[in-house]
Amino acid sequence: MMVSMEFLLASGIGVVSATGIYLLLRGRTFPVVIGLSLIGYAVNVFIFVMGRLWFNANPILGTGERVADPLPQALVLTAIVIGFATTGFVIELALRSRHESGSDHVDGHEPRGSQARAAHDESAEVL
Amino acid sequence: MSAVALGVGVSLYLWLARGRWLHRIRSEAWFGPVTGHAVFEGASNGLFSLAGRLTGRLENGSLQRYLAWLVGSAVVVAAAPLLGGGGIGTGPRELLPANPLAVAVWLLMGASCWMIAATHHRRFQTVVLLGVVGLSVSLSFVSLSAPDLALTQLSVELVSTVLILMGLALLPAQSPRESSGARRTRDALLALAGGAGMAWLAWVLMTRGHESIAWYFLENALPLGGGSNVVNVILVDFRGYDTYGEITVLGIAAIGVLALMEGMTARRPLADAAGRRWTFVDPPLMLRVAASVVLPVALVFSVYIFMRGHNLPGGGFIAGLITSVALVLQFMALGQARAEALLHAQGGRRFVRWIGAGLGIAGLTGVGSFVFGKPFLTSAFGHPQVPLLGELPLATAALFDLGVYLTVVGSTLLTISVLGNASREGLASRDAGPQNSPAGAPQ
Repeated sequence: MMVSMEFLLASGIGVVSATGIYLLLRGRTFPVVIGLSLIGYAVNVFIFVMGRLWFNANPILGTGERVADPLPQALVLTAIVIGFATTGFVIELALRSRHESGSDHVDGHEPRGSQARAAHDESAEVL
Repeated sequence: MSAVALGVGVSLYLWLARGRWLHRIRSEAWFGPVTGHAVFEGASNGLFSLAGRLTGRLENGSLQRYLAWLVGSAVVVAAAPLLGGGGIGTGPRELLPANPLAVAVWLLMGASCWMIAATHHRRFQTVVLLGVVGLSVSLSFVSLSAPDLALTQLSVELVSTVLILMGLALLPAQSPRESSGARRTRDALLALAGGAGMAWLAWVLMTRGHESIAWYFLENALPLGGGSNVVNVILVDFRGYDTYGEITVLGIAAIGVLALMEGMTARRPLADAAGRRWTFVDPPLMLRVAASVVLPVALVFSVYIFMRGHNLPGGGFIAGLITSVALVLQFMALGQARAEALLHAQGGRRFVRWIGAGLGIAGLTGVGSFVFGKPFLTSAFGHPQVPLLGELPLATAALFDLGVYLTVVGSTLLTISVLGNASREGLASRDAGPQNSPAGAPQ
């Protein structure tokens, strides 16, 4: 059976977004940041493949007879850079939130009856 | 008409109210407890308490619950037309055969995702695996004719890994295992539904024919934009206004970070839970030497990437990111304080000026076209003959791209620098091993 690039890309987008959604639903800020990054990857590739898949067709004029669709590429290029800025903002929001509340739980306080608290408390001290 | 209605109403009231007759009617006597007043009060009270109970049930202050509802609703709303229509399936487009390398990258990426989902409690490992996914994305761009995207993704990957690690140094190194089995199952089902939906949607679209407005950009990139790298011409010329908005967002995000971290200092432990040091006591010799050798080369290379951007893969975004990577390397090799002294950055604040200068140059380039009676951001280009250099291709879009470049460098370095400034090297973590004794105290 021949595996197509389309299948690899589509299933890859699915796997990455599923992992991203799962991490997005975790209770601590750090996995949520990672989850957002993963969803960002999946969405960027999703928009990119809307221009369909092309081998050896760089959108540079005069290099070949076929060229890939340049428009989704231009859209995704800025999206990648803005995705970085968003990741930066979200991770520093997570730090500020922990600084203010003393907990890295997404709700700003440790869940009631948390068993994990003692095991979790080992790291960075908040001034 | 309104005046007539008002007049009739007022006179009707006066007629009824004559001798207070209207106000003496006791409606209870006629209708028992079911008076208009009681019905209205009862209904509105009931509505309020129903709303209160519903809000209480839905809005319990748990972000996880809200996100689960959000993801669940998105899946249902997106799935309805796909499942209900019945006719949406695989399209007729001829598929591209996958080469073994692509399959290998796919397997690597799938395994990384599986590992992330299964072992996300070990945060450092998660960052490494996230990098694998990012590099797989970059490789997909290379193989699928998107060299600009591959370069951008690669350099963003480097900077964002540094950024995430700097954040992780201030956060617990492990997530606690606190989700119940039921919650994990619920989340896994939502994730699988969401992922399957994305995959199916991508498949359905990719297997269909491709009718795009791209032909306009392909035909006009050379005659109207004066460049043969169509992606870059779209960014700095055809869709320049979009790009201007996007670099503004970039600047706002970075300045937002500055505002967010204002006055905050967190103490970073010297080592993580496993006793590995977060920073070097002395930067390793090799890294220091390599960083100082690499810096001029990388800067020249970014100028080269910037200059060729209009015709070959490159441009302001990519050049800006390459410069940022080179400067972030200096931060890592020299330490925050020395690197900032080198750049005269004043605790990162100076980078705000870079962002301002970038946005200013880009904006003024746009306004400049008013002088020639053209709309905002209309570009011009020419091939003047310069002595010694010969024919020189010039485009005002390059000036706009310079603004993009400065904004990207400024935003990236501001984000990193603010985070570095907020973290002070602190005491070793409480339960870490003896290798973190105060002997290795900050120098």
